[in-house]
Amino acid sequence: MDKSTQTSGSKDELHIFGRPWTYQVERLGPIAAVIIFGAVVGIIEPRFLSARNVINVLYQAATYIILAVGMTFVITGAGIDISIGSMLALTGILMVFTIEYTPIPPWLGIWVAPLSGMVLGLLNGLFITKLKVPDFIATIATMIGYRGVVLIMAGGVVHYRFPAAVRFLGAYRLFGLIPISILVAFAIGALGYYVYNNTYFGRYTAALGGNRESAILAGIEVDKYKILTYVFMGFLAGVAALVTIGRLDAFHATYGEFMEIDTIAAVIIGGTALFGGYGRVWGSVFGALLMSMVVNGAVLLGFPYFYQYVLVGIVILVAVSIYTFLGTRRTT
Amino acid sequence: MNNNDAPFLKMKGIVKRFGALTAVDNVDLAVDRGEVLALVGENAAGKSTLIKVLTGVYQADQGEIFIEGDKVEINNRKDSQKFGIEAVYQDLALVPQLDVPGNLFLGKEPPKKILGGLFKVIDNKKLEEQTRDILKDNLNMEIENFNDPVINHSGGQQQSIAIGRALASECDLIVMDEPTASLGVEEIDMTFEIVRRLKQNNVAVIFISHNLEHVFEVCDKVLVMRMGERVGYMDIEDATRERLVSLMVHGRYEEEKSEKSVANKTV
Repeated sequence: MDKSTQTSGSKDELHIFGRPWTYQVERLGPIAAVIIFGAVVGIIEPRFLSARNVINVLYQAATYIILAVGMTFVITGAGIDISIGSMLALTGILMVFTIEYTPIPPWLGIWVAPLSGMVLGLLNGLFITKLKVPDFIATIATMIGYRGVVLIMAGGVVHYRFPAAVRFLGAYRLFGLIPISILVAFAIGALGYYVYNNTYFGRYTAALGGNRESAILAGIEVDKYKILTYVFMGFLAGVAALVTIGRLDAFHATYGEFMEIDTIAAVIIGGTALFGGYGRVWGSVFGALLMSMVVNGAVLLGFPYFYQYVLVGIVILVAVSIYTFLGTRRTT
Repeated sequence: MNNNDAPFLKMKGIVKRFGALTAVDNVDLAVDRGEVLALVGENAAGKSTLIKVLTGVYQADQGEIFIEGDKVEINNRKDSQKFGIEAVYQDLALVPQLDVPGNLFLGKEPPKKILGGLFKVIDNKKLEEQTRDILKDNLNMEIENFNDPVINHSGGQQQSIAIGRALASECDLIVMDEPTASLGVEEIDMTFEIVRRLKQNNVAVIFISHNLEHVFEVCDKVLVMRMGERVGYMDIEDATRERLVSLMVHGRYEEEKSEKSVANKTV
């Protein structure tokens, strides 16, 4: 029996701090990209690293960071949520109407955004698990449907000048300097990281995304956890609505359009597997930050506006190529 | 033997249909603690379907299941776990991206209360300790880098991890579906060792295999299935290679004929 003692098959692969080097590159890649990109652009254009601009970049990234944390869970569970931009707008208008047209005090009314987001996410989850509509199709349908409701409710009118409770999360600054929204975004990143690694929700989401059949055989209620990823996403879409509306102190029915694309891009840049099984919460945070830096850097370096899209596209392609390369190494 | 007269598990008159196909047709099966029952038959004989009825993945259209003489309902995986039934599936049923502890205890992670009992989270430290114990005590295995995804480990190790998963829960019955199919010689010996140890520990084992050598090596009784039906059941002492092959292929065994048919059929 002793002679049949086994050792690890992955022993021959180079390990750094107890993990394969490919894993470390995947994990640290997005952070390294943020640092390197920041340094390079900062050398060419020193204004890029000024305190004011750094805060500005973070400020603009906050919404995407919050959304990307939620999307990390959805994608880890082998799902995708195309409806987040519409959810952001719908939770926003529901909150705005609550505050403008009901006697509910604003400090209570703002909770309508995250709570209604959970309901919208629950609907997404139910369509996917109970009606068996593929994630992509179901959330494209709700993207259109939710947006329709927003347009019906808000029309073309801009709502603006909200009470302090609404502006607090998006516009207020700690010591008059650091926007609350940045702190909230990073707190949500930390919470997401903890949830991913330490809760049953996080573990079972990865399990159902990695091998749904195995998860079922292990007695995991896969539908329940799948739905929960969408509920969590909806909740964070509501928080992102608060941050966006508070920052601009205004609401318009087009808010959130195309945000799903940028958010999914941030998650993919961050190293989360597009087809499920494992997620990188901090990767998504830094992925969102990198996207924000690219856009801001392009402006400072004097690129015409439309070139930003080209640059972001290049960043996504480079990131995914690197992961594909590492992924190939990992399985052969 | 058990104090109780009834065997640990008894399945009676199990029928499972998929549309027009009857995958399992009126099959009886019994296995007691400390007994290794081989379930043999050709592909599509209904072995895996029968097992999935037992573990609650499928629901039988007819038939009854008794645990220690009591009739029970097994409607899902949770039910079968409750009765101490675990399974190692042919396709291993691992999650490739999860690490070794994550796979060994999937669905059974030790809990830890946080924020004054408000939330229940996974006790990752305890999970790793339990993993070390299982690997060392039950599998006699040292896995370096057990935080790597299991896909980074060799086929034999993945097989061991899959078996370890069944051992990780205190179970009374383990079903092994083709446990030796993709293993090397040493790893097969190790699997036999595990089966013998389970037997010593008074666990009931159902051992599904194509390989009759392996059946003769570790099993006490043999149940033969063919096209969904049970065509033979005997003590291993009464089984011969010829008899089993004839039953698997023709569904019957006659002393004189068998010599010829075996000669024709086997390589």
